[in-house]
Parts: sequence; C-alpha cells; structure tokens
Amino acid sequence: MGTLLQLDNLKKYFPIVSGFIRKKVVELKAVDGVSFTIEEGETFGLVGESGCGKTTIGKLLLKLYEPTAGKIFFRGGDITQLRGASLDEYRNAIQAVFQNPYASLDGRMRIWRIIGEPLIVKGWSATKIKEKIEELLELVMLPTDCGPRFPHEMSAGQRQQIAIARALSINPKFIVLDEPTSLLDVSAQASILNLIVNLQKRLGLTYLFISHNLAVVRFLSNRVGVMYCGKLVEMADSRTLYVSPKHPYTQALLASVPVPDPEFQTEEIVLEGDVISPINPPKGCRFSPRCLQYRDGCEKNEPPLLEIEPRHFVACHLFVS
Amino acid sequence: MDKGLNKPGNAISQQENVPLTLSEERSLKVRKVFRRIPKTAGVIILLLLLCAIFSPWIAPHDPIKQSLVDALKPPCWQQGGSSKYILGTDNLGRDILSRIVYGARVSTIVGFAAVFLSGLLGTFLGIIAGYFGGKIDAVIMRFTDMMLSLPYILIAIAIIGAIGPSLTNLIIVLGITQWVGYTRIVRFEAMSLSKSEFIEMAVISGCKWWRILLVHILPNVLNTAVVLASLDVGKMIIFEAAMSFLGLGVKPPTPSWGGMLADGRVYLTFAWWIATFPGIAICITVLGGNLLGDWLRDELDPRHQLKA
Amino acid sequence: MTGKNETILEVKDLQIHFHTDRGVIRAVEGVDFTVRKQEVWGLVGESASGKSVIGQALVGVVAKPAGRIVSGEIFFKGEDILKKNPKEAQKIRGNQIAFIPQDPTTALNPLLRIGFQIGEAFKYHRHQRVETISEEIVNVMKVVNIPSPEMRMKDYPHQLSGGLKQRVIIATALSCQPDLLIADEPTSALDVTIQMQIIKLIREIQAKFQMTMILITHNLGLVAKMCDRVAVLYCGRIVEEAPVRELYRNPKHPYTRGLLASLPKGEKGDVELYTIPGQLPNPLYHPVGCSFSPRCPHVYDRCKEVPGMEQCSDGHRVRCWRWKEI
Repeated sequence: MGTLLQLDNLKKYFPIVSGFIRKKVVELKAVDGVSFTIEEGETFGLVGESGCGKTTIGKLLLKLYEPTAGKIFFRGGDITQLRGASLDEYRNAIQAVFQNPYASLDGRMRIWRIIGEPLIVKGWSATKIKEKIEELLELVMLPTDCGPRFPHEMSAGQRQQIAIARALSINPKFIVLDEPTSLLDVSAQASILNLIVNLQKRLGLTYLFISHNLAVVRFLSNRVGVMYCGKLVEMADSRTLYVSPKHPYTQALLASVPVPDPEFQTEEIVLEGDVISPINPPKGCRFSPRCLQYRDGCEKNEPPLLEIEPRHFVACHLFVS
Repeated sequence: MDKGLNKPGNAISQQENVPLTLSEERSLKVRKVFRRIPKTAGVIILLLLLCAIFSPWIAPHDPIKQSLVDALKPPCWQQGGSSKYILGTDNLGRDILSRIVYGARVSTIVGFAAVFLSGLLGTFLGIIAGYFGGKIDAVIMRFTDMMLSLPYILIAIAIIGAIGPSLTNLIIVLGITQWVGYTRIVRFEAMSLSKSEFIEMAVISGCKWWRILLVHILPNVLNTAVVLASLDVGKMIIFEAAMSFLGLGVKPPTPSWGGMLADGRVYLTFAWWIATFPGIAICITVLGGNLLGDWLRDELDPRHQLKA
Repeated sequence: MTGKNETILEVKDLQIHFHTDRGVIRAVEGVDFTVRKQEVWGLVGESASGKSVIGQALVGVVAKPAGRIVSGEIFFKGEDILKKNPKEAQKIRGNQIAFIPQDPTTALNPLLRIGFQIGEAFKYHRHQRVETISEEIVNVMKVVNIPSPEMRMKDYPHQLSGGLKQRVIIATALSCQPDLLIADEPTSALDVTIQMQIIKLIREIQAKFQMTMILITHNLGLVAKMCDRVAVLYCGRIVEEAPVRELYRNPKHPYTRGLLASLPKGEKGDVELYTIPGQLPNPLYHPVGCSFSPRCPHVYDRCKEVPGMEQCSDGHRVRCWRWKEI
C-alpha cells in the first residue's frame, strides 16, 4: 500500500476573455498551488464551498483539464502531460461518478449500452460485455433485467448505481466521486453510501470524495482536506479534523452544518460576507476578510501549509511561529 | 377526526402498485404510439406519396398531352367546365388535376431530398463547430456568415446557368445553400451538450472525439434537426416553385407545382384555376410536413413519455 | 385576546391531484394540520412527498390546468381562502401570506433591477406613491442586511451572489409585512456558511416581526435548528407530527424512524447506515392502504387499510396501526 496519487503545487487558472479580439482580461484562479497525496486504499475527502476548486481538482486528476502549473504523479510516474496511448492507459485506472444523476447518463441510450460503453470502446466481444454487465449489475445491486431499459425509467438513486456500475466496468484503481449523493433523497443517499463503502472493501478501491456535505464526508473518509478559494487550508485525519479543527474557516464550516438533533448546541460561528470569488483573490491569507480571528499581518502574506501535529496540516498565521 | 380518504379502514380505489413485465410494457407502448399517429399529417403525407408513386393510375389524363381546343376550360362546377377536366385545363389544354398529381413527384423528391442533403450537411457542420469550439468553430461560423450573405438565388442562377436546369441540379443547389439554418441551431445545442456531464463521462470512458460526436452528440441533436427539417420541407417546395417560376427548375413539360404557378400567373384574373389549385396543393403539403415534424419530434424522444 | 396559542392557519382534508398523460398523480391525499401564531412549523418530506405542492396551494400557485385542488379547506385567520374569488385571494397573497421559493436565481426576473422587483409587492398591495416607495424598499433591504442598499437597488440579479439574491427574495416577501411566511427549501441552493447567515436572518426577522413561519424542507438538520413543531409527509399524507424535540427523541412512525436512522453519522469504519428498504413509490401508483406498507418492517394485515391519525402524547400524533407496539 503506497502512495497512489501525488499532487505537487498544482495550479489551474482559467482566463476570462472579453472584447472582440478575445483579450485576456483576468484570470480565475480555480486551483492555486495545492499539494497533497492520496494513499492506496484510502478515501480522501475534499470539502469546501462553491468556487473553492474542489471539483476542479477532481477534473485535473481525471485529465479533463490540463494543469496550468504543477505536477501530478500516479504511482510515482509523472502524468502531468499525458497524450495518446499512455493517456488511454491512465484512463483505465481512474474513473468518476458525478453529481447529477440526470445529466451524467445519456438519456437516449439503454442502460446496458451506458454501462458497457467503456468496454465497447476497448473492443470487447459482445458476449464478454454481456457477462460483465450482468456481473456489474449484481455488484451494484440493481435488478439484472434492467439492461434494456432507459435511464428515465429509473429513480435518481438507481441512476447513480448505474453510474457506479459504469465506472467499475474496466476495473479502475481509483474513483473520483464528485458529490454523488447531493441530489438524492435521504433514503437513496444511505443506500448509495453503503454501496460505495462496500465496494471499496470488496474491490480495494481508492476514492477521492468531493462534497460540501460534511456529515457524509466524515462517514466515508480516512483523511479530509478543506479547500478555500483555490487553496488547501487544512488537512488531517477525519476524526482529528472533526473533533479539533484548527483553521478558523474549518471551524466556521463545521459550525454551520445543521445537525439533526435539536438538543445539540454548538457555538454559532456566523461569517460575514460572501464566499470569495477566485477572480482577484485578496492578498495574503484569502480567508482574512471574513476571518473572526483576524490579526494584523494576515493580509500581508499567504500562510504556508504547515504540519502542526503528526498528519495534521494547517495554513494559518495563528500557527506560523 | 379524519375525513374522506384518511378515514380509518378506508381502502378505496387507489391504484395498485402492480409492476408490469418488460414485454407487457413494451406492447403497451407500441399500442400507445399507434394511437397517437397524427391523423391529419398522416393523411396528407399519404396522399402526397400516393400521388407521387401511383401517378399514372391516379391521374385521369396524360399531364403533358396538349389539346388546344380544350384550352382554358374552367373547373367542372363552373359554367363552361366539363366533367372530363375536373379542375379545368391550362392554356395549352393540359388537365390541371393530372398535372397536380404528377407534380407531386417533383415536390416530394425535391422536398425530401433537398431537406435531407441540407440537413445532413448543416447538422454535421453544426456538431463539429459546437463540440470543438475555438478555431474550428470560428472558421465554420465565418463560412456560415458568408453563405448567409450570398443570396441563394444568385448562386442558383450561377450554378444552374452553368450546368443546366434539372431536378438533380436543383436538389444540389438547394442542398448546398440551405444548410446554414441547421448549423447555427445545432451548433448551439451541441455546445451546451458538450459541457454536460455525460459527455465528460464519455471522455473518461475513453471515447475518442469521433465516437463522441457520432454516438453521443448527434442523436441528441437529432430531435432539433428533425423539427427544423420538417419546417424546411415546406420551404424547399416553395423554393422549387420559385426556381421553376424563374425557369431554373425542372424542365418543361415535366409538371411541377411551381412551374404551374409560374404559368398561371398571367392568367390569374380570368383563368384563376391554373395557378390556384397548385397553390393549394403546396399549402396543404407544407402543412402536412409541419405537422409530421411536430409528431416526429415528440415520438423520437424517449423521455417524452414522462411529460405531464 | 391574541395569545401565542391562537391558530392562524388551519388546513382540513386537503387533496390535490395532477392530471397527466400517464394518469392521475395524487400529490396530496388528505392533509390536516394547524399552525399557531408566531411558531415555526416544519413540513419534512422527500421528493414527491407533496410538500412543495402544499406550499403552492397555500399561496394559490398550484400549476393549472393539470393541478387541481380536489377538496379541502384552508382557513387563514378563520376564513377559507380556497373559497375566495381571485380578487380577494390576490389581496391576501403576497400581502398577508408571503412565499420564499427554493431557487433565488430562477425566482428573480433577470431583466429587472432588484429594487423594482422588491417594490412590486409594495406597489400592488399598498398603492403607495412612487416617491415614498424607494424609501420603503431601502428600509426593507436594510432589514435583510443587504449592504449599501441605495446603490444595490439598481443592480440586476446576475450581479448578485446566491446569498444576496436570497436576501432580495426575503426582502420581497417581507415588504408587506406578512403574518405568515412560507419558505420552501430556502437554503438548499446556498453554500453552508451562507446558509448559516440566512438562517440567522430568518430567525431574527421572525422574532422581530412576530411572524408565523412554515418551513418546507427535506433537511432534517435545518428542521432541528429552526422549527418548533414538525410534520413528516410521505406520499401525500402526514404520517407523524410532534414538537421538534419529541420527534427526534421519540419518533413513532416507522418512516420517521427510518429517516432519522439513515442519516450519516459517525466516522469511517463505523456501522453501515440503516437504509429504508425499497424505493419511493411511483407517484402514479400509491400503494393501497398505508402508503409506507410496502417498505415497512412492521407491516401486517391491517396495513391494507389507511391508518387514522392517533394521538400518542401531548401534541404528538402518528398515523400507524402499530405505533403502540413498536
């Protein structure tokens, strides 16, 4: 069990163009220098609010985007610039399940076709594909006769099961799960989460679980990273992060999640202002404009990500000695 | 206390949650589809096709046979008309009804072939422009703009002037000038489709660009393309009429509705039937095409079944 | 004597059906509840439970012609608003009963300035002069903590963030100082920290203006934080209703229990989540009798009949034949 993926100072900037000649006006710094590793067999949770860059990280790992700077290593090999046959090989190892059960399946295709597509592309024979599809349907606990049906005949939860089946079809090592249960009802969410956990045990998968739902992330993850405005502000083992968060943003985030227990009292941390846009982020620590523990100097320099205790990293001036 | 439906012990008519087997569901769907076949459009299109295919058996007379003694006879219900020529005759004594029936051939062929050609060309350019974006999109769009700025009449005159008027040439000309409408609209849809998650999933699954275009994007823009095409059938028939009017369409004496309109224009004030009946035929056919397009679009969408 | 226990809204046997190509959807099948003055009453349900439709019915925007209020009465301040003619209903809607919809982006007209949109309700209900209106608009924007309201009045919706847009919607709802505020998933489109702001804002406003509030949501955490009493909706029927502490501590209906048990809690490696077996039924085909029976672990013979609402303790009622045993 070693390191499966390593992100090294990864950056992704999107140019915002305007004008007739499409001049670059400003850059959207979606991911601005993020580094962490994902160990084989673990679930790494990535949390943050909209615009923090967590989805972009997922897409960079899936090679849907090319990084602007920085490097990505897969099992030690540099996969930052990947083309042709090596890209195809990488795509065998990494798959994804996305958020929207309605948009992630082609509504005009039958289910067996959707699940089998990665295999059709690889040129498997029809009989082998049929066998594999039956196997997959059983694996994700869908009725084996639903192959000829269309996605719109299935519920949202079942559609996510289909998406998971498709992701598993080529036996990947690593799956990026981007908010797979956010659009599901509570009852469907529970069964999908159980499925995800069971599949990991059975097949030895590694997951990057991206979500804004902190309770779900806690339930699934070994380690969690918190992102804000394109940067990683805290990273720790799941239990450590939830029990003793150190970064003020993490603390506010955890305090904002409504807990389904009327007796539960917690210090309310209400942040002022809006989630910062990654276009023209503030100087210094990006959280400083909203930080309740702001001190002089926070806006001058960006705090580095430091290991303040074993396996617990924080990027905050409170801990820069 | 509870009233009505929630009265304790009230197990009234609520539909049972009985799941249908797959084959039962399929046959139910087939029956539903047949129930929904559009009657008006179906009748019109059927009539059109019958006239086009079985013209020799349906038309009472030879459409090109002239008979100057019978020239300019009015329809049978008017004074001076006869039951021999139900809708009257034209200036050369040819039977209007027969010419309309035979004219259906030209209209059908031009209508559908030109639509097919322009639709094919336009849709392909549209999905390529929409999916790839960037420079490819820019090139295709500028080309489209250029085509739009040139009046098709001029191009038609130029091409047909060079290669001579005929049905095939007409179809080619219409095909290469009328694709622009498809491209713009299909491009827009292809652009938004390209950003959707299932396309991302296809990329992740290892699909190459040509597969994504053909297997994922094309079927999803077909609906739009089909609707546009159905509206275009009418347009093409009218264009054919215009071309024939200008003498750039089918060669006389082959009957075509447009040609008949052209011929009958001069006689409109006193022999109105020469131009009017072909005009009505055009109207009805265009209507049929539009109605068919509406129905096709609804039926082609597997999600349509769910719409409330 | 107006006391806090006075009823402001009473709904009796509300039934709403939608007629679609594929059949009749019985969205709401006999719902009874009362809401007391100045309380926050929560309506919890998953999708297709009918909760949004009830909210729509209260403000009179059930989609016609497919949607029909088949029967029932809605007594607002003692009068049945379903029996009112459109003109009278218009006076109440927006004025005394206000509505906060789910998605602030689609609820605002992208082509009109937000000051104008906030002021629409003023103009319509209060018939005020144009000069005094802008002052009122600025005031209500201040109430919802929109910074620099005089300048932002002239902004268009796309220039605002999600949180600000939601505040604009709340401002619009508040402009005529309604007695009853209905919020349909007011925070589900927002980020978590912004949700916190909006929740705090709504609570302050409710206290300040002594408004009654109905919160429609699927988020059990939100309900725990905000509501005084809660009703749980399943397939168009209320299956349980109780004060909020009682419901979470002592749920009686198998569905409520299942819901609460299936929420993710704890860390990795802990027990598997409880899942309610089966699926939400097809809205066209509600099960015969108790609609939860196909999925219920305690189903038995009598569940073929629709259970009645029974009181199990003070303020706590449940719709289940076997609540005493389980």
